[in-house]
Amino acid sequence: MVESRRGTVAAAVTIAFALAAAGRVWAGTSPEATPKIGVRVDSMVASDTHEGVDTQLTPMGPRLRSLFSYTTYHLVSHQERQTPMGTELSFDLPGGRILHVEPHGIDGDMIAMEVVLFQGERPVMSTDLKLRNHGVLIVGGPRYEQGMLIISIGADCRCPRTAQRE
Amino acid sequence: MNDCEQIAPLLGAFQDGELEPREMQDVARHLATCKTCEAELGDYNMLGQQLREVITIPPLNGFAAGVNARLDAMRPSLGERIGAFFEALNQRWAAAFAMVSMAGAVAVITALILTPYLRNSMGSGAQPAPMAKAEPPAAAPSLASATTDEAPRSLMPTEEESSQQLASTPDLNPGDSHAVIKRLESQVPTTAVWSEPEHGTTVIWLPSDK
Repeated sequence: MVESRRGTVAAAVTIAFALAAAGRVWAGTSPEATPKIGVRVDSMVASDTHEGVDTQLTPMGPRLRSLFSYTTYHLVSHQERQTPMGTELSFDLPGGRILHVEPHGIDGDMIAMEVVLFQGERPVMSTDLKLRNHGVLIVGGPRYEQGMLIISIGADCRCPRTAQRE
Repeated sequence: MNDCEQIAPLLGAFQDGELEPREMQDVARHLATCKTCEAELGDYNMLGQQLREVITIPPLNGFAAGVNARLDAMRPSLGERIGAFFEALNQRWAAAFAMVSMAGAVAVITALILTPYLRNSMGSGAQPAPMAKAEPPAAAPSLASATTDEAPRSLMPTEEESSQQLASTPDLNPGDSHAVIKRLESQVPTTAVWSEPEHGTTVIWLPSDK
């Protein structure tokens, strides 16, 4: 009888430790622990040639019209990538420009990131910001061909309100 | 075999009422016609009466007390009872320890699962560090205080640059905005920042010189 009691206790303790270890492993490998950030970069040229908004930019039309007063918006390139936190993404832009985006943290529903715009090898603009999940940052102004280059940067995180802080 | 030989062995049981109904009926029918067996049954009756008169019924006074005294004498000793008590207690402790172990495991797992959420909820309740805001309070698009007429700036952080960065508005709740700019450095002399809350968009405008 005593032996059976000891066996029960030993089994309970073993199960407890096994469950704790499994929970630890699960928590360490859960998606929340290493969220991936999707970064979308659209390069557009805005001008006043009265050609309207490029059909590929139709979803962004109202946004562009509310922000700027140009009459033509033409999509030059669309790039979309995913990266784990703390890893820099590099996007080639029109006119020999390069955009570096490095998400490095999540604060609530905002994604902290560093954005650097290069003209060739020369950094033109550098910013450290927090962007709301699914939000858009637009960097514009540089001349390109017959208009202005507008770069739309969107960040998406498929993670709960959450996981990591800077 | 005549009837008397069959009935005679049953007379004692008949006297005591221990026969089967059918046998009782047969014996009673035989007795009604057989004087010999009837006389023998009378002997049985007489013998029974004499035996009952001989037997003395023992006195029952103090019987219950005597039984209790015997039971008391059979009770285990105090040491045995204490031992039995601790044995039962030990069983309860073993069960309690097992339950506590399981509860502890569940608590640890729950804590491990909920820790990121708790950390986040505690963090979101904290005051944000002072940082620059990219958007003006007004909803209408307008130039923000990032505009500067100074010469192009270096991207290396200097004291001069820190004065050219956006004004800090730590009193605004970042949760109400869609972008919070902590740092902005630009080589373009006239950098503008504004936001369009309706579409959740912030703009950094770097106009070319030409």
